[in-house]
Amino acid sequence: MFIVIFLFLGILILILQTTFLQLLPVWLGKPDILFLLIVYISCQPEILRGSVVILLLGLLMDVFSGVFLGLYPVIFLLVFAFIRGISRRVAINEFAYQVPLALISYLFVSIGMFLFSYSLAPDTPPQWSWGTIVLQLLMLAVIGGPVVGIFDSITNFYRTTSASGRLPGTKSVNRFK
Amino acid sequence: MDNTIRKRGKRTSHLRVFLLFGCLLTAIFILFVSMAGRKEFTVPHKLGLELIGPFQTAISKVSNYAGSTWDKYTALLNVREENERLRQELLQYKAANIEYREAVATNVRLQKLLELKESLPPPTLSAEIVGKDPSLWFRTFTINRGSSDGVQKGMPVVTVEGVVGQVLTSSPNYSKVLLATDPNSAIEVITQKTRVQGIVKGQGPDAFALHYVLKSAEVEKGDYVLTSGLGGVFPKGLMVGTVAEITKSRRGMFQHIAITPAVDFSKLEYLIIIMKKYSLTED
Repeated sequence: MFIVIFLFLGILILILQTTFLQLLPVWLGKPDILFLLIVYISCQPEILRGSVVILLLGLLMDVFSGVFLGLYPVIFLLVFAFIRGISRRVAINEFAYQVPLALISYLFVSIGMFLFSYSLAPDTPPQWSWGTIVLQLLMLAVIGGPVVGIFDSITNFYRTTSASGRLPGTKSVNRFK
Repeated sequence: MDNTIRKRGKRTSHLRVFLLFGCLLTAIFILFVSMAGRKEFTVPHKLGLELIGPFQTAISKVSNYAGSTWDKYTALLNVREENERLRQELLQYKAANIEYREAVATNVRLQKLLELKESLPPPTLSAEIVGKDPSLWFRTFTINRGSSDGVQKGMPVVTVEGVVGQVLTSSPNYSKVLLATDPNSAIEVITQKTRVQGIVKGQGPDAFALHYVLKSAEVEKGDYVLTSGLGGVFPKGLMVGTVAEITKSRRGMFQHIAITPAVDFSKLEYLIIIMKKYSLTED
């Protein structure tokens, strides 16, 4: 159920990002809501199912964006691993950590993408624009709270319905393990 | 005694009858006089009028006010309804106007595309953009034509203004187009005036760079850059852009030439795919 819900949500966001959100003016930037979803899933305790969703979303992202197939699954899974690594020390599944974590991850991913593109085409390197990156980060910071709130309510709904439908004797996922 | 009482009763009733007749006659007389005379008020009339007049005025004003208020209220109700109806009509007309303008604009665009289509080597296929790359690092579009329409990897994609890019991948009904502004794109070109050849590569959202032009080659600012047809992907003579800036650094063999794209990539809607029997860039 976790995989289905978040995969469906990811597809919905991807469609929005490739169509409706493209209508936003350039100076406003284009919010990367899918990236917020990736960070959010990475913060959840469902490691195996989370990684499956992230892999599938990365593959889907490859279809609609970029030139090199397999780039997005790698990037998304690296973000997942990075966040899981941090989660051993910090309680990142808390709401307050998720948006700053998304911003840091976004910055790292942008740097990684730039270096990757640069290494492939050194004679026509992609333009690194701090203005654009900062605008994107600001956009993520602004929409991050409400969007993560929506994801939280979807997760709570999922957990409630799955808990009520659980067979007696089965254990629930312990978020504070 | 009884006779006396009866006589008094008879007198009284007679008197009443006389009084009644008297009043009646007086009224008839007044009527006749007023009808035949100057129709002027007598003092009692005037006095009565003066006494009652102010009350009449006051009540009349109040009733008029109430009446006019009621009329206004009912009129307001009607006006509100009418206003609502007019607003609806206005919205309908506005929507119709927007549709009309959009239809005219689409017609103009399609007409231009048709003209271009007729000027290009056949066969060609028109397509509509259905999605754009959300990433900051890549420039691709998704279009509503795929392999079932005969679209294959490497097919050039153009528009009225000039070159847009080429097909990167295709599924049965959709294709992904790599824009010429993507750093991974390369197009063989020639300058119109000086006939200098080079390769145009994407450099960001709305910029090209002309590569591999020797320092000794003569390139003019403002010269048109067209497809050379040498790569075999694009037909010869399609507009790519205009030379915007030329820099000759001390080091290296080549000039740095910035090109302003002929196509406004942010406003693209419809595209034309130049079909080929066999794709030239197939793996």
